Amino acid sequence: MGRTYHILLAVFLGLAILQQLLAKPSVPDWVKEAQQLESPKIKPKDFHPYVLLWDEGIYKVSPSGKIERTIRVAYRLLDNAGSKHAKAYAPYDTSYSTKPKIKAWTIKANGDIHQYKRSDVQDNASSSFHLVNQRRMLFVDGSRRTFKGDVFAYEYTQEEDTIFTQYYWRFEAIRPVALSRITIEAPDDWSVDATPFFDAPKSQRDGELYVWEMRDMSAIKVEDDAPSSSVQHSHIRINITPPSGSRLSSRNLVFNTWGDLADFTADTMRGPSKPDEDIISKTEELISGYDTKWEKIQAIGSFVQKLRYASISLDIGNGGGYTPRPAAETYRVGYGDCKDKSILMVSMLKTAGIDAYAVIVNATDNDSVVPDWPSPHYFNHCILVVSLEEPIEAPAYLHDPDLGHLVFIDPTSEVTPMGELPRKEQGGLVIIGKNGLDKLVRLPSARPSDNSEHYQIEAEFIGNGALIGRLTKSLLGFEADRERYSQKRNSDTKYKTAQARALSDNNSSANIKITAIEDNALQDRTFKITVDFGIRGYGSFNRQISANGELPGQISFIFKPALFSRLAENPYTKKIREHPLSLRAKQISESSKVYLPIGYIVDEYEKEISIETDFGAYIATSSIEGDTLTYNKTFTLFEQIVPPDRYPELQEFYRKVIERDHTPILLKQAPTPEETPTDATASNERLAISDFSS
Amino acid sequence: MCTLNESKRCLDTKVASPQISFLRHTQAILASILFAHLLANPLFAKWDDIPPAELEATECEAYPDMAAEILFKRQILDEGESANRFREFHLRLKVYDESAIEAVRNKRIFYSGNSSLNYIAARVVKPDGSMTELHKDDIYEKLESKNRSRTVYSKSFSLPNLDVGDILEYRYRINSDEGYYTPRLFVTFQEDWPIRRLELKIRPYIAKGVGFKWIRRNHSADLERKANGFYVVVIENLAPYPDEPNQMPDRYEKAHFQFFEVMNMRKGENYWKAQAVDLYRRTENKAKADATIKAKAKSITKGISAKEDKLKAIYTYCVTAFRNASQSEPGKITADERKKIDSDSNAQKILKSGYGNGYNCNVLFCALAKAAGFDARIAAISDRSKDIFVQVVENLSMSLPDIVIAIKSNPSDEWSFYDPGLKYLKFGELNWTNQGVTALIGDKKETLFVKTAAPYPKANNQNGSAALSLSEDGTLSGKVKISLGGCYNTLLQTQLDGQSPKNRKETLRKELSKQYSNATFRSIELSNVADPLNNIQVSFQIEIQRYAESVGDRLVINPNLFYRYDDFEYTSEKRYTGLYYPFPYFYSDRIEIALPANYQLDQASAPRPVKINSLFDYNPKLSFNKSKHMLIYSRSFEFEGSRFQKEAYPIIKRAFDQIYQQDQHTITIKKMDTGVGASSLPQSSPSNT
Repeated sequence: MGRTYHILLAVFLGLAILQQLLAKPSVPDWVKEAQQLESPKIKPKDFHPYVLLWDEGIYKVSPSGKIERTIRVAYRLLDNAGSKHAKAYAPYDTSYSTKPKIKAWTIKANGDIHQYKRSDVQDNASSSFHLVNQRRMLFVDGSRRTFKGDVFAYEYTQEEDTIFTQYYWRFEAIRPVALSRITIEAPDDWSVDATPFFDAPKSQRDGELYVWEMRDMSAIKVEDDAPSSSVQHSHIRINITPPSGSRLSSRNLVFNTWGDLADFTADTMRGPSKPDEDIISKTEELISGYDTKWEKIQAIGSFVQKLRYASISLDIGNGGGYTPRPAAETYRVGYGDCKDKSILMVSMLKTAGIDAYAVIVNATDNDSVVPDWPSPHYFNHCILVVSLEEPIEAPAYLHDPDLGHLVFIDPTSEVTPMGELPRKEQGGLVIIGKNGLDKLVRLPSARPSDNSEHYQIEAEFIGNGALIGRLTKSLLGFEADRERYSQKRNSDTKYKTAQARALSDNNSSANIKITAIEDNALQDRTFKITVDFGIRGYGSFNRQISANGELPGQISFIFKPALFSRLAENPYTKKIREHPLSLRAKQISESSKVYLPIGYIVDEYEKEISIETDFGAYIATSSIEGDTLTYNKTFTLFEQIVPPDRYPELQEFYRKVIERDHTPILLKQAPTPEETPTDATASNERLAISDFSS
Repeated sequence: MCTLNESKRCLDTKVASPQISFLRHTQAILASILFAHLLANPLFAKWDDIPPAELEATECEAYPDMAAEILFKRQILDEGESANRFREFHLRLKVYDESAIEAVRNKRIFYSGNSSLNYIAARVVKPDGSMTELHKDDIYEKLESKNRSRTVYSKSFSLPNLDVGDILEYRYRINSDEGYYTPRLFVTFQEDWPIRRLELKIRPYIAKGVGFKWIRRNHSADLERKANGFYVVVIENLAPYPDEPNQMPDRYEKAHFQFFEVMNMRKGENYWKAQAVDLYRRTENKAKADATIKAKAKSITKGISAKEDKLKAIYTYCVTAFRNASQSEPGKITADERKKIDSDSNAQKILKSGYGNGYNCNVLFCALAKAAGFDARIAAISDRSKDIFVQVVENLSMSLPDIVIAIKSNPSDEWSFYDPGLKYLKFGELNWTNQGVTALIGDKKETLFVKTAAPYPKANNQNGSAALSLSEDGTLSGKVKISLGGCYNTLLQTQLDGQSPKNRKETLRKELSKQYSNATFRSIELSNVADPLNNIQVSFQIEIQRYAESVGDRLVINPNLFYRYDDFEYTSEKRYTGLYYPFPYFYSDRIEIALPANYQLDQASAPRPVKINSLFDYNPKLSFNKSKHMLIYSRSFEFEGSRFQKEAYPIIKRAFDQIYQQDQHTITIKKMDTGVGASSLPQSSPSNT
């Protein structure tokens, strides 16, 4: 009996395995349905190597609060250039998610199906930016099997257990989408509240199921410098919250108001900000000798800024991304991430008797926050705000009706002086981590003169049109930050080489010798570079065609008075603009005194060039007295959002400025040629005009 | 510089058996656990004292502009004992500049799933001698990636309180699991920064029945063999090797040792002769001209009488009819077909299937050529993008990694080389990596080393022409045509052939927009993109508003549309490493610009030529055609690009600077007074075009 049983079992198993081996691969019904969908509409002239046929999320909420998340995606390739996009990605974070179970298929245009095997799945750490984190990504590469006309589809399922209760779904994408759908299945006593934005639909409810769906959508156009709120893509934001009074409601984070988030931030930061003896002692050392509050803030801030950035991003699903390490720990190791450094600085300031609070901001997009929908997910960075008794003259200063005089400080940025904020943060809505403060606060924005580059020059022409002289480049605001960053990241040699390249931009082969670098971060916040320069052939001698058309005629000399600040490229060259454009405040100016070649007088030049619009202003003045040219130029851009219908005007403004910025000055030989210096005579020799004289 | 210092015969060498007794295995495990436990605790990390002079140093004596200096570096590579293979690394570095901190403050050490990283120690020493050690809790372990063939882990740490003036020091040890070894070791040890003292200790793997050899290159220090099988060397004051533009491939110039396993006990001439025989046998076995092949060759060459033409017809067949999976032709070879590709196939099978990889294509070409009466043989050839061939590297796949087909031409008995496996090479061309290098031709008697033809500039050409007109507001517009030849053409065809026509235009539009950011383009046309027999031709309409600068009644114009927006090549005054250009090239352009009717030449001179014998020949010309009222600018630039020692840098930099300057040359035209027409243009302006 036993033997027969074993034989039968073996036969049965063998047949089952054989059946598996012989079975043709098949795809789930949703993939078949996706295949049947027409490709979505494509705007004329747009090129899309693939379209998204299916983009679906299914969230099943269990009574225990765990969420089973299934994502389904299918692409149709319209061009072989799309092959490289035939890849499946399933991100997960081991702190709150199981490893996804992923399946992927390539369905050839002739109907053949290839199902990717488990061995085709790669499991990669998703970022090397952090010293350590728990984010990972499963990856299946279908690019070698999927070509024009084929469909690449994948789905994955994972279980998540997190204290966060907010979700986001975007219906449109940078490629046309045939169908986008999100389904949420939640127990009856849970609440599912969704807010639709733009054309997003309201939900259709079917028992425990909530469904939102959109079809046949054009691609979203990505444009540089577009404020994110203006890129009108349809999306929904959803709160999924457990019934009040349940065990889960005390664990899960619900943010009904901005005050909830301010309280959460304040509560999370409070413990870690407690100073230990080492911090107290270091603070006393740092502020000793300083009398004013601002001096003490600067002393502490400079110390914390110098600590190295290193991110340890753990336990994200349980709020780890918002929880700093204890200030004492950050001080001990001498490095930390944004919240670690901010809390250490808060701790030191409090030790020094100065009120300060952590502030959560978005460091990469100052237009991310939707004021009507409180959420922590808009924010990806932590800075701090310090309470002052009186105003200070600084771009990061703000007077708030509830909080009084404030100055915001970002100690993570090693290059932004106290009193300023990194450019991308300026103007953003933020949350100050102070209990009971139920509002968003807008960070101050810098004025054009706060973000400036000024070139001060004294120079003279020698020999064959070479220009030699001294330049002091003085930077303020984000231009100075960028320079400090470059100086820190590059060796002295590389930095100077880069400087030479930057200063030579548009000037043929400049020789640059940096004679002084001055970082006044703690004084007027400028960064100054002084260089001695020589530019071969900056001015050029040309033989003028004489009145009767005979060669040789008179010698003339031509050069451009804007020496180092000349604008070369119009940043706005795209013909069509769909979205508004964020124009950031900036000022570029140049003041120079140039000694002209001896023996030459003015032939033609423009004394004043002025262009004024509400985007900005350009004014350049030249005056020549004797052998000296005095030139002054200021180009200013005003901070604003430019609507798309005014984009052509902005283009034209830039075009005019560039054109006028290149306006040359023409000199001609003075009437007494016998006084022409030897070097200019030498230059005549080299003017042998090859083909003109033949 | 390359020297073979030693070759070790090891038929009698004692080889560690993979069969290790249980007891020995257990002992090894216990010992390594204990060792790891002891060393993982920083309390047990023993550090050498640092001399006061090193603590106090504020700049590198030999290279004062360096951001850091490696005071001490030790690398131990033990591949010798199968049960106890390890790599140990020890570095002590002095930070002189903030920029070095960014490069070194975080350390991530990767190791494979077949190995373990069980010891890390690190410290930061301040100039006053005080020290902060890395705590074991501050080391983070991570699974970096995992797939069917490989698992990679990392351990990372950030150095505590590191600042300018500090010395950082770390060491770690990676143990490899039994059975996992590296048959080739490329031991490079130069760094971005100078090294004051380097200690290398290497014990290579020696398997039964094979041997290993080693060579040193680009430095003069020899390894010394120790009794325990280790090779050791101490090198002092090694120069830095920072990243620089146009740098040579590492093996050309960077100091290193190469260890490599050899399966063949022959050496010198005997070794290469044996390889030539092997290649000959491969030709005979795989590229046999049997009846099927002969019939195919006959049909391909039907009606052709000249021998050269027959060969060309066979070549054309191989690059057009054969489906080559080595070229980017997505969709033309199915994934299943791709799986079936076998580099060991013979010509008959390859012909039958009609597809294969580049090597298969070359084998088929060889067989067809033989069938057509040519003496055709498989040849192994050097790749100069990676290494320079030296006979002392007695390893065929390292020294001569590529395969081409050599054909003897009668009556001169000279060999010429073909590589239809790279389908966009035109008949008679070789890939740039195989030009001017050594090939070993299969032969049953001789060691046939033959050098392939050296590259020359005019073979790799770019020709541009433009028929443009300038308007009164300075806008330049018109038609541009560009054609490519040689390496430029091969590279572009290979890049574009997998793209759809629409995508190719997009690619070109993006490239053009990078070059001319203020221009608009229309009617972009590309022809012959996927044509193995013809070169690519590109044409487009361009419009650049306010191309010419205006002042009063004058327009200032640079007629050199093609290069006026280029950056100049080299800005750094210093150079630490040599220069390398993949191939010599020749550019030739002609630009015609019709001037506005009511403008006349005001100030005009011609740009100057720049010439350095046998290196640069830059020749711009500018003329004016009076009858057509047209500026004519032509420019040719021939560059014998090759490799140059760093000492040549100032000459090359100066020449490129001068060319850049001449490329920016402008002339001025002026609006004529009222009533003055084109007929009153200066009479002496020659219409000499």
